[in-house]
Order: sequence, then structure tokens, then C-alpha cells
Amino acid sequence: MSKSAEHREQIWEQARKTIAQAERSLASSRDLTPEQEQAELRRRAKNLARKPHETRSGEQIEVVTFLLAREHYAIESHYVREVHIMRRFTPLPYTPTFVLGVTSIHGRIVSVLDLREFFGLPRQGMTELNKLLVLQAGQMSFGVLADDVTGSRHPALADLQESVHTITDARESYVRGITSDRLIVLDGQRLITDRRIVVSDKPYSEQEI
Amino acid sequence: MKTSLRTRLVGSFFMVIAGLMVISAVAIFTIRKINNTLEEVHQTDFQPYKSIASANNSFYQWLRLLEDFLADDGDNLDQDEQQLLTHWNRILAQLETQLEGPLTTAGRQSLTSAISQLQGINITQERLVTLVRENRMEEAQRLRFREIGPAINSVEEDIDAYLKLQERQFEESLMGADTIAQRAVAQIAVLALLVLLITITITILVYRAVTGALRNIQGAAQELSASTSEIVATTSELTSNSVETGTAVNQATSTVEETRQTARVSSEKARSVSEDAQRVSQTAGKGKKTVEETIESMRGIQHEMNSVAQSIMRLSEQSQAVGQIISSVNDLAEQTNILSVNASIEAARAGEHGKGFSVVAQEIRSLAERSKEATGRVREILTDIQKATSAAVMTTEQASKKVDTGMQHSSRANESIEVLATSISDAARASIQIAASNSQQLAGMDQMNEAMSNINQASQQNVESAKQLESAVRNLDKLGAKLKSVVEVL
Repeated sequence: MSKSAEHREQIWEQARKTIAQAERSLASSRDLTPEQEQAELRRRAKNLARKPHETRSGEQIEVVTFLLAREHYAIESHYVREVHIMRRFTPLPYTPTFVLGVTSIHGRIVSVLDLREFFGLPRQGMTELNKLLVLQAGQMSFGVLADDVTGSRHPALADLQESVHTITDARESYVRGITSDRLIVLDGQRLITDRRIVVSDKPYSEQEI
Repeated sequence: MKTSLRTRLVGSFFMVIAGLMVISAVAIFTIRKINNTLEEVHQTDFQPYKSIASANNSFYQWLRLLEDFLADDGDNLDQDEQQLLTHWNRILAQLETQLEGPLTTAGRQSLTSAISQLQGINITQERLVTLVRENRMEEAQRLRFREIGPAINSVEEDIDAYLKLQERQFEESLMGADTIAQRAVAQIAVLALLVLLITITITILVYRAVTGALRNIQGAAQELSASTSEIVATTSELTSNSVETGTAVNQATSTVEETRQTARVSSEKARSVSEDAQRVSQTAGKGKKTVEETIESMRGIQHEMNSVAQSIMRLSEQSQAVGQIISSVNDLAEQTNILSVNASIEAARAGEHGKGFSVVAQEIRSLAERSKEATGRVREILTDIQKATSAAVMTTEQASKKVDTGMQHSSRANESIEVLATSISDAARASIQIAASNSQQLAGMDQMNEAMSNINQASQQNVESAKQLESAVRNLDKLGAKLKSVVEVL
């Protein structure tokens, strides 16, 4: 009995200690010491002072990379007008299944496309699908949904493998190439000017593809 | 018929005797009748016949006297004459008396003819007597042959005829008696036959009854034999049982003695139990007090538990607020990220001039990324905190419930202790009563001991009686066997 009482006492002691430590750490995190603040600022300044991307041999393209159905895709930056977080959209009736609807961006109506439907990819797993890449080429402009926009890159054109054996589905004709780290670079021009994108008043099945 | 065998036997016996008596009566009656008839015959037929026979006899005597008279030398003439006359008168008188009796016409005719002839002879006889007296013997002889001779012959004939008639009548009478006798014999024979038949029938009936009864007796004898053997077995069993009873009684006596000892011991125990009970009662009071204190402290624990639960609730709410803050930070990071991407796009559009801007955008992006990571970690920690909090809530709830049950148990224990205390005081009282009843039991045991010895004596007597009974039953068995053999002989 005394043993168990001792054990209990130890546990309580430990709990008290832990709480005290937590309190201390909280108090310390609230206001950084001047040294720490200085160190942080220095680190950031160093980062900013870094040189821009080294230009490697050959021609480079700048792409915006995004995540869709657990795969990394990229599209050339000059086809992307802007990136947005899509809060809501309005569904449109009598449109192909890949047209989810329309949404408003800075007071302009932009149609929203689901590339998974467009490429005929199987729906698998939960995806966020709340980022909108607004693509533009000439007069044509529409948004495509992505799970996440991961940033921009500058892959060399030489690195792109154009003949892709692993992609044999509907995406094939829209893929410009694939990098060694499995980044699928889409052909922006072809995608934007595709006739399927243009919504006519005829039923989808009667359209010429 | 439900008459007994004896009545039947006596009845049949009397019936046979009655039959015999009837036969005897009939025989006696018939004999008397025959006797009467014979008497009558004797009176009516035989007497006349006898007198006529004597008349005939007298006639022949007269005839010889007449011959003598005729041959007489003359001496005793008077005497002879006197004799002759006397005989003749006797004959006449006899014949005349015959006429007085009952006669047939033919008989009467013959008789009267004979009388008239005799009267005729009388006249001739007087002449003859005169002739003899005068000693004219030749004339007398002549008269004798010429006149008396034929008269005598006709008288003889008449008498003969009469005699024959009488004889026939007598025979007829005798014949009548004979037929009566024969009829009587036939009657008696028929009666005897009847009686014989009745006797045979009765004999058969009686035989049947007797054989039936004998058969019954035989069965009864067999049953008796079987029953007696059963009784013998039962008696032997009884004997052995009596012996067993004796031993059992002995055992019981010793058991009673043991019980007595036990009663003494239990009396002592009961006294000590009563003392113990008092001590236990005091202990129970203390226990009750302790339990009440326990309940009180349990109530305190319950109160504290409630405040602990409230604190945990507050903690949970605060961590929820932290979660909201974190999601808004996350949102900010995301927006910053998007912003940086847009900035890079814009930088790319600006071409070579935008290159530095592109670097800044990259940096902003990485900052956003890091703050996102940090919020991710905070969220994880927050999840852990939430889990720990809900576990603590659950534990507190369980502890509260346990305290509740503990309180219930304690109050139940309190009740139990109370019940126990009352039971113990009851037990103390009971043990005092037990001590009292034990002394009574001791007295009872003494009485029981006495009773046991009485039973023992009785059982010994039982054994004796059973032995006697056994021998008696054996005799009965023998008797049964004898009866059986006798009946079998019959």
C-alpha cells in the first residue's frame, strides 16, 4: 500500500515538473531574446542575398508546378495568368462532365475545368482540389483545378523526354515531356486551343473532336 | 343353492329314510290287507268247508255205525241205536248250520238236496231199527241195500258237489288274496325302485358335493402349506429383525450417551458464543463508524472530481480555440503561397527585370511553406492534447462512477453491518436459549436411556415370542401337510 502511494506521489511530482517546464518554455517563446532575433534576421538576409538560378547549359523554360491526383504536373508560366484559391463556384448545366462550372475572379467570369475528367483519369483518394490556375493564351482563358500549387521551376528542355511510354491514355497528346523526377510538363498551347474546351450550344456527343 | 354340505347330507339321508318308511308303510298296509282277506276267507269259506268236511266225516262214521248196527248180535242195541241217532242228528245239525252261512245257489241246492235225502234216510233208518229189534236181519239187510244205499250215494254225491263248490270258492278267495299280495309286491317293488333311483341320484349329488368340497379342502390345504411356509420365512425374518433391533438399540444407547456428552460440550460452547457475540457487537459499532467516515470522504472525492472535470472541459475549449487560430494561420500561409506563385508568374512576365523579384517570391513561398509545416505540427500536438483531454474526461467520469458505486457499496456495507450487529445480538440470545435447552436435552437424554433399556428388554421378549411363533407355525405346516395327504387319499 505504501509502495503504491509512493508511486502515485512520484507520478504527481513528474506532472508538476512537466507543467512548470511548459510554462517556462511558453514564457520564453513569447519574446525572443535580441541575439535570437538578430540570428534569424541574418539568416533571412543571407537567403535573400543568394544569387538567382544558375543558368545551366541549353534552353530553359519556366514552369508553374502543381499537384493533381498525386502526380506532379507543370505548365509554362506564360500560359498562367494567375493562381487563385477557389472558395466557391457555380455549376453549369448541359456542359461536358469536365466543366465543373464558373467562378468569379476579380469580377471576371472564368469557367472551371477538372483536368482529371478531361484526361479521363480515375478518381482515387481524397483530394483538396481548391486551387485554381487561370490559363490564358490570346483571347482564350479558363481555370483548371489543382490539389496544390507547389511553385515554379526552370527545367532544361533537353531534360524533357518527349516520347513517353508510361503515359498512354488521353493525356498523351497534351504532354510535352516528362522530366527525370516524373514531372509531367503539359503542352499549354495545345491544351488551351483544344476544340473540346470550346463549349458549343450543341450537345457534347454531337461535337466533332 | 347355498345350502351347506351338512344340510345337504342330512337332507338326503332323511329323504332316503322317508322313502324307506313309505315302502314299509305300504308293506305293512298291504300285509294287513292280505291278513284281513285271509281272515275273511277263513271265516267265510274255510269254516263251512271244515264243518262240511266234519259232517262228511260224521256221515261216514254214521255209515260205519249203521254197518255195525246191522252186523250187531244184538247186545248193546240201545246204545248203538242211541249212537246212530246222535250221529245222524249231528250230521243234520251240521248241514243245517251250513245253510245259515252265505252260500251260492248251486251250493244251497246241493245242501238242501242232501238234507232232504238225509231226512228220507231217517225214516228208513227208523224202519231199519225196528226190523233189527225184531231181529229180522235179512229184511233189514235188504232195506239197507235197497233203500238206504242209493240214498246214501245221492247224499254223498250232493255233499261231494257241495264240497267241490266250497273248495272252488275257497280257492277263488285264496286266489283273490294272492292277487292282492301280488299287487302289493308290485307296488312295493315300484316304490323300492323309486327309492333306489332317488337314493342313487342323491348319492351322485352328494358325491359331487363332497368331491367338490374335498377339492376345495385340498386347495385350501395347499394354500395353507404355502402360507405357512411364508409365515415361517416371515417369522425367521422377524426373529432376525428382533435381534437387529436389539443391536440397534444397543448402538442407540451408546449414541445417546455420546449425544449427552455433545450436549454438555455444546452448552459450554453456547455460553462462549454469547460472550463472543457481545465483543463482535462492539466491533460492529466501530466498523459502522468507519464506514460512515468513508462515505463522507467519498463525498469529498466526488466534489473534487467534479471540479477536475470542469477544468478539463475548460482545457478542451481552449485547445479548440487554439485549433481555430492555427487553421486561420494555415489559411494565411496558403494565401501567402499562392501570392508568391502569382508573384513569380508576374516576375517571369517582367522578363529579365523581374528576376530579383522572382527570388523574393521564392523566399516568401518557402516562409509560407515553413509556417504551414509548423502549423501542421501544432495541429498534430493539438490532436494529441484533444485525445489526452477526452481520455482524461473519460477517466474522470469513470472515477466519478466508481466513487458513486463505492458510496453505494459503503452504504450497503453500513446496512450489512447493522444487520450483522442485530443478527449477532440475536445469536447471543439464541445461544443463551441453546444453553437452557441443552440442560433440558440432558434430562431428556437420561429418560431416553431408560426408554432404550426398556426397548431392549421388549425386543428380547420379541425374540422369544418370535421363536415360539416359529415352532407354532412349523406345527401348523405339519398339520397342513397331514391334511393334504388325508385329502389326497380321499
